[in-house]
Amino acid sequence: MATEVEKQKRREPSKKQEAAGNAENLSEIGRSFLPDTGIRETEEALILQLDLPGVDKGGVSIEVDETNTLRIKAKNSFQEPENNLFREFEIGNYFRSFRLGEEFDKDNMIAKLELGVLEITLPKKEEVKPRRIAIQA
Amino acid sequence: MAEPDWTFSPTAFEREFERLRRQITDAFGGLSLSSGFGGGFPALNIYDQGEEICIALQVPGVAKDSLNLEMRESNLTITGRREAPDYGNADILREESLYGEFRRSFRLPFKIKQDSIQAECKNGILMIRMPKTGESRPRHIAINA
Repeated sequence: MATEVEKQKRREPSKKQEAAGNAENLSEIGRSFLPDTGIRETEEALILQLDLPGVDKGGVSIEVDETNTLRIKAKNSFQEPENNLFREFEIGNYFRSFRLGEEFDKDNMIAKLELGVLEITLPKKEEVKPRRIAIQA
Repeated sequence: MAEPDWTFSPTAFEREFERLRRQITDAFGGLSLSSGFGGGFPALNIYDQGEEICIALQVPGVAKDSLNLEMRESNLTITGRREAPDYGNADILREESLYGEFRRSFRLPFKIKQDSIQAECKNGILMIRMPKTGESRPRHIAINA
C-alpha cells in the first residue's frame, strides 16, 4: 500500500499543538472540515484530489514535514449571503493530513487548483518505479 | 424478523424542526430534503436577500460549459456533470467525491424577473441571483391539526 490515509479529527490538531508547543498555527484555520478526497496511484506517481469549493489559489497551504506527513490547509473565501432559508452545506475552512510512504519524491510535488479542486501529484522516486527487464534472445 | 432494539420517538423539538423543514420545502415545491447523499447532490443553500433570492451550489470539478440553468414559469432546473479525471492506468485507492450527471429542480414561491437572473461559477461554487418582481405567489398554508 502506497500511503496510509490518516483522518485528522478536529480535536487532534489542538491537542498535538498543546503537547508539542509547536509553532504550527492551526488555530488560524479554526473550525475546519475534511475535504472529500480521491487518491489514485499510477506507476509514476500518487495523485490526490481534494474538493475545496470556495477556496481560491491564495488560500491553500501544502506542507510535508520530516515525518513524511502531508498537511493541506485551505481558507474558504466564499462570502455567504445573509438570511439563509435552506441549508445543505456549511461554509468553513478545510484541513486534512496524510502519512506518505518513503517512495515519494517530495521535492518534486506539483499542485494545481482548478474549479475548486486541488490536485496534488507526488512522483515516485526513480529507484522505486517498476523496471522493465528485457528478455535476452 | 428481529425486532429493532431501539425505537425512534421524536421529541417535540424534532417534530417542530421537521415541520419547519417541510414548510420550506413545500414552498419550494419539489426541493428534495437531504442529509448528505441521495437527493441532495450537489449540495445547495438558499438565501433570501429581500430584493433577491440567492442559490449557492457546491460544484467542485464541474466544468462551466456542462452547467445548464433553465427557468420554466416558476420552475428552476439546474443540470450539469462532473467528469471523473482520467489518469490512464491508475489504481483508485480512495474515492470520496461524487461524479456524473446531476439534476436539481424546484419551484420558486416568488415571481422572478427572468431577464435579470445572474449566475456566476467561481472556485467550485455556483451562485445564482434572482431578483424578485415583488408580487408573491399565493402562499401555501400548512394546516396544523
